[in-house]
Amino acid sequence: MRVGWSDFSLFWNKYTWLSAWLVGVTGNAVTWVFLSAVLQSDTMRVQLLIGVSVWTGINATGWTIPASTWDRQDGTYPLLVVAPGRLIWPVLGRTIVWPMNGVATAMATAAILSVLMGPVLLAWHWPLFLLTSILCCAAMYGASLALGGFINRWPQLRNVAFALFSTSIMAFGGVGVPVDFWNPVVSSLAHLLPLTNGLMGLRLSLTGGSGHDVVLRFVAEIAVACFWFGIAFLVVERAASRGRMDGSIEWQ
Amino acid sequence: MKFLNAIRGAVLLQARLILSTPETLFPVLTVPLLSIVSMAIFIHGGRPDLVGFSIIASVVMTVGQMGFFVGSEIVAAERRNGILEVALGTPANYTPQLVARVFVLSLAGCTGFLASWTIAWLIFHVAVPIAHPAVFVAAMLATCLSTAFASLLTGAVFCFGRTARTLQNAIAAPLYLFGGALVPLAYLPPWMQDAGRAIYLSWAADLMRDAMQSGPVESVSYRLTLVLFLGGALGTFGCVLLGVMLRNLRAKGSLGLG
Repeated sequence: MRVGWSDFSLFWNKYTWLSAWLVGVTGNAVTWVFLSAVLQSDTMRVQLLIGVSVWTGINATGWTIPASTWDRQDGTYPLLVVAPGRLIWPVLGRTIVWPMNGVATAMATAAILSVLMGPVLLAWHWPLFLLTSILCCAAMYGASLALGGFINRWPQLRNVAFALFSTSIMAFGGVGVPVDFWNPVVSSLAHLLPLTNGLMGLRLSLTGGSGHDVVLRFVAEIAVACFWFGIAFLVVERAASRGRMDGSIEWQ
Repeated sequence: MKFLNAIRGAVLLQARLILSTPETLFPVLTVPLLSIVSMAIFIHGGRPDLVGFSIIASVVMTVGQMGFFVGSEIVAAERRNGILEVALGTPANYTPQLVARVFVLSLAGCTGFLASWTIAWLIFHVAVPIAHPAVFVAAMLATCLSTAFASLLTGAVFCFGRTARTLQNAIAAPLYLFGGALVPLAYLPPWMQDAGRAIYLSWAADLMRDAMQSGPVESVSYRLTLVLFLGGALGTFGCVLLGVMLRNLRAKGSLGLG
């Protein structure tokens, strides 16, 4: 975790996080929410404000993908592979800072957007928003670890993989348009994305959906998170054993 | 003649670098994908006629990413790789070469237009017409040139600032917001409109949007001149800043210690 915190500190300290980081993420979020002004739709404002706020947390958590390849760049990856413990634990330790940043980013973005673009969340909605952000960022963390473990064989593609995955989640995960806007195959697959079910649960609870349906969505989000963590565990360990076999664990 | 040879060399060098390291084209691959999101929002909102806004955003943002972020890292990368001393030691002036190289990168960013137009056509079955192609191309070229000028400023800051990555992450989104890339300035609050008018991207994006419409495009030469003037003004400031910074590094003997 100390290495992860050092990674994070290379980019941000408390002053730059509160200024530069939040300016960047809220600038992006505000742009998307302003699309509701173009469409002159208050429903769209609410939809985008909630969706984009949760997505900014997901996007911040996605830094786990490039971070998963940094051990190769640093030359410490072979040492971790030959160490007696499982590889997944030091990878988790180094990257756990990014989902924490994701949850903080989602909360801060929602608060700032509510001030700039008009309030959407009532006081009692905020704990629910926090819960959604934690669940979605946890699921994104698992998915990012899996993708990072996979892309670790081609570390030069880390940023492309991050951008493509994050954009796909925004496009198909229900951030701007409902999941069923897309064709049935895409909308079915979208339920495996780290944000879809949690965001649906949050939207349901805000619009007075039944408690049963809301709980079902959050349980589905937890199931998706478990699924991605399982995949991540397999991919990271498999990458190490495959690297041992074909000698592809080299200093980058 | 020597000047033109130096520019030609810079252009060829950058073209070869793009071909040998295709990962520099990463924004060309990823930025247009964002247009899927905005196109879906417009179509879901019952306004497929606004899909053109997404295409313009894609062009402006891809050119911007290629110029401000890939292009601005040229000086930093040359410093890191120990090439900057050699480049500055040659008789050719470094700054025009830098502008030429970023111009090549920005031109590569124009492929964002093709990518997003194709996305609109293939995924959403919307074929967006360009009513005034000559104006559209002129606006794109002016944007590329202004971006190349303006990148001198970001290049200087990113190369020598201690928190280059922090700045990169911070300025991109506000730049495109105030630059009216996706949402035209007319839809933003008045104070944002006023601030956005000082950014050449807003004039370029408006001109490109107008070039898509079937009606006449007003004041084309005035607006193109403004795009170039505002980009040039940033470039002039960047040129001075870069010059001061390079002189300081020369004086300290730390040019190659990036």
